Amino acid sequence: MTRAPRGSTSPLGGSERDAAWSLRIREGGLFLLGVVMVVAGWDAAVRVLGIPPYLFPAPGRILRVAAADGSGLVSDLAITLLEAGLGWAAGCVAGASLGVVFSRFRRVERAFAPYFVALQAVPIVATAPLVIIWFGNGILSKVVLAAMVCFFPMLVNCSVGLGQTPQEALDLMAILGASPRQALWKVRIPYALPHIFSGLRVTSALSVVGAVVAELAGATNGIGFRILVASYRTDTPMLFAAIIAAALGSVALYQSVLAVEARFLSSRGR
Amino acid sequence: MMDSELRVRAEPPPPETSSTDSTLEAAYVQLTDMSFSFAGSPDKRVLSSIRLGIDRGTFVSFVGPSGCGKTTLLRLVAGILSPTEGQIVIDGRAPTDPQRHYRTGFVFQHPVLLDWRSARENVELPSEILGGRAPVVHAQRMLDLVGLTGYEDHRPFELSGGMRSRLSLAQALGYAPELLLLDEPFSTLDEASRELVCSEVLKIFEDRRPTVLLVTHRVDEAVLLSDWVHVLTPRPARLHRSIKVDMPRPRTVAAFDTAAYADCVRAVRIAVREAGIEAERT
Repeated sequence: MTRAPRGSTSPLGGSERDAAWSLRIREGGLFLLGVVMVVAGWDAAVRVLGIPPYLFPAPGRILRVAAADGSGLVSDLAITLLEAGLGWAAGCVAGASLGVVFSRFRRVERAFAPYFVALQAVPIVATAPLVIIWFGNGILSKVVLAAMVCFFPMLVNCSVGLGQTPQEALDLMAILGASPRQALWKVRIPYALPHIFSGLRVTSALSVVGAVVAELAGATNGIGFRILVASYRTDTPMLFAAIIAAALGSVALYQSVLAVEARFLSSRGR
Repeated sequence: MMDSELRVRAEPPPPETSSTDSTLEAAYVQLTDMSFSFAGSPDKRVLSSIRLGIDRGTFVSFVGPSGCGKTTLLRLVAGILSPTEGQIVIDGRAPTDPQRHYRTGFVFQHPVLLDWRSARENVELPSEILGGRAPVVHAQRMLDLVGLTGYEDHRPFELSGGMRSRLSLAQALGYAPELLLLDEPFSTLDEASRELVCSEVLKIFEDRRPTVLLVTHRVDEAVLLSDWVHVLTPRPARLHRSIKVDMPRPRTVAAFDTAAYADCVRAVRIAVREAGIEAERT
């Protein structure tokens, strides 16, 4: 049977929306409750067991240390997220483009894919010093390394996604005499969008890892640099603060991609 | 029960069972000793020496067991595949000729409906691709024609199976193709929607008279819709027998209740059985 037309206002519309909101509030409340419980448990454990702050600081101490150098922490996070974001964009564009080429010319894929798999197998930490030597101590080397981390997952997702077009849709394009470009934009990319978005999501978190690793290998600012300095000083609370900041940055990137994805794919009813 | 069965069997032989071969040169669609096997398994033929002419403006069905190569036959006529031996000529041109792109419509077993487009936008898809090469599509008229008035802005996933089938029909009819290829378009439908879509197809055919090739394993719908029913053997598919359906047009689903219909269905059923037996023997 048919479903109700989109945007129709059923008599239940108002209360349905209220129900959705109350569900959201309840879920948000549960999340906050979880955070409070973890933090309280952590605090209690540190106090009761008498763990020294240089090993495992209490949450309150981390917060105080972070607040004392709040502007520094925020500007370091901003730099790292900028590097990660630029690298993410570059890596995704490059990976997706090659994915399009691979999906169109499977022979090219068979010839060159092994090199990319081999490169992917090299730990990013091992290549970081080389990237610093080539691209310097500044932002560029971080962007390059973040892009390198994002490139391969995006390539794979895009290539696989573009291979998912139903045969019938390709047949229709053939019958209508569609050009490869028309087939790509009218059916192949739209059918691949769920895969492309999952690639964008996974790489958004990875890009922060790439940027931080590059900063650890050589930098003058950024979260990675802050982590390095804090570890030299055995400033464990600051180390925690930096790690938490990097994690929050990653989550923020991931969630923004997720929000865009939901917007794009919601019209498909899935 | 027994008695009536005997009486039916005793009736004169089925209607006409000749081949259309004699008119091959004059035919609109000409299949000349066409064979096909997939690359990589050349010794396993899917279609074997099919020789058949189809006149312009006729409705022909291909009936055969599932997996016999009926769909492959349609894909060959559509120019998606090329015959291994023999040739296909449609109106003096090869199926892959660019001139044919807007003259052939294909309705797939699983409709190609894009969920990110509305019903109207799905009907407009072919003309977006054909650009100026095809007649302008009046999407609204097509949707009215298949009885989807009021559902223009619905997405395909919001429609029922029968509606999706009719939408897919509107998509194929949109650019007024001369040749319409239907690949089991009713196979996924329940009995009620099947009859509805069948009568829709009948109405459209009587109205516009395209040449239609229907592939199905259902004898009843093949007889109701067609001028000729071509019975294929199991794989490799050969043309076993062609049966002319001698029922007046315009037809409606009321034809289901006529004696001529029952005779034809019986003739086709017998031919299908023979085709199976013959295939087992060889």
